[in-house]
Amino acid sequence: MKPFQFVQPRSIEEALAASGETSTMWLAGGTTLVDLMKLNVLTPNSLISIKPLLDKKIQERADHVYIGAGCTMAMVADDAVVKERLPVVRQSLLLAASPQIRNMATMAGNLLQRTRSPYFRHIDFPRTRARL
Amino acid sequence: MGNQSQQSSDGLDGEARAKANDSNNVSAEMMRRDFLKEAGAIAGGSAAVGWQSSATANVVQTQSDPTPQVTAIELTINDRTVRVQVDTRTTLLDLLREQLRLTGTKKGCDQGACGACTVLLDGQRVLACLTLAVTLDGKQVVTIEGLAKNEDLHPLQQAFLRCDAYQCGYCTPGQIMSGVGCIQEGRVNQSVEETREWMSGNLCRCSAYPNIVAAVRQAAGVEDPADPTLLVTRFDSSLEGRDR
Repeated sequence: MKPFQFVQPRSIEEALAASGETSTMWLAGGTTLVDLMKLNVLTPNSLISIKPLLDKKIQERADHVYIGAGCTMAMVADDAVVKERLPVVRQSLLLAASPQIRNMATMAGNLLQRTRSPYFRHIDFPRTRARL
Repeated sequence: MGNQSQQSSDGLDGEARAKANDSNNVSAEMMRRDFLKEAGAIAGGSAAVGWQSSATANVVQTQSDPTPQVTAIELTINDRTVRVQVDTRTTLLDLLREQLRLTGTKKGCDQGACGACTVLLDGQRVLACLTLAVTLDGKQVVTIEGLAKNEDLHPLQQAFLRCDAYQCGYCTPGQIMSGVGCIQEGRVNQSVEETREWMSGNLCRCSAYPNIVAAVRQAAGVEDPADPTLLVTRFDSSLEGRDR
């Protein structure tokens, strides 16, 4: 793995301010990022740890359910509101990954997850990462 | 930076090192992996044989890269406070195995697929191979070494023995830690299929699954303690030729 600077900001504002640099990535659950960094597929110069800063609330609102970016897959799957209002979301979460990964991976990280293509994961196919 | 003169090469300060050694009785005896390392070096001759951690493996460094950053963290591992200096690239798995010599936690795939490195982090089962140690300041970790109370094995460890829930044993620490988490989460109170699903993050190449499931269910109290092989119907020659 390439060396990187680890940054632990105290607020979202600090995190955003630190994000100006090139080759900076945000670390939440780390289940994909750390894996891809081990493969040298992603090689950030610095990691900004944002998991402690992200919102972990789940709330039932008038016509929708609010899910904080920092909620893990397990938190969402086990939430009473989600069980009641969004059973299909719970079901699909419980079919994903493994119990251990679901305890680590965040919802925001899921939305921003890199492609699962084996070519993307392979260091010998750099063109698959041309848009990075 | 990091490894000043009073620091040992593994980044532990003297006190933490003594504790880590004391807890594992590894100070005097030769570790199996040291032996394997040396044996490998002899057998391999000039071939590059070495133990690779996530921090040192696969490094392609260019001039523009930052220099490695070493950070001090303090965390609780198996009820002991450990102060340690870690390279930011160090995973929890490599911290446990290489710096603290808690080699009970196993490195299987090192990419989050097999579950061999499962530990409890703040009470939840997670994969040590995908957890950066530098994120763990102030956290609580429990590994397989932290389950038994002196000579008294944890109920799930006893169940694994009773059920013969392993063959080669490499996945066993991860299976047990995952089982402990699984039971704590209250997942082991319904069907066998449910238990299997909630233990599905741990692969067993020897395929000891029926016994592992039995051990977890017995430790959870949903099945009576028994050796599962005794439940298998044996071939009875007196029944031969009879209509079923």
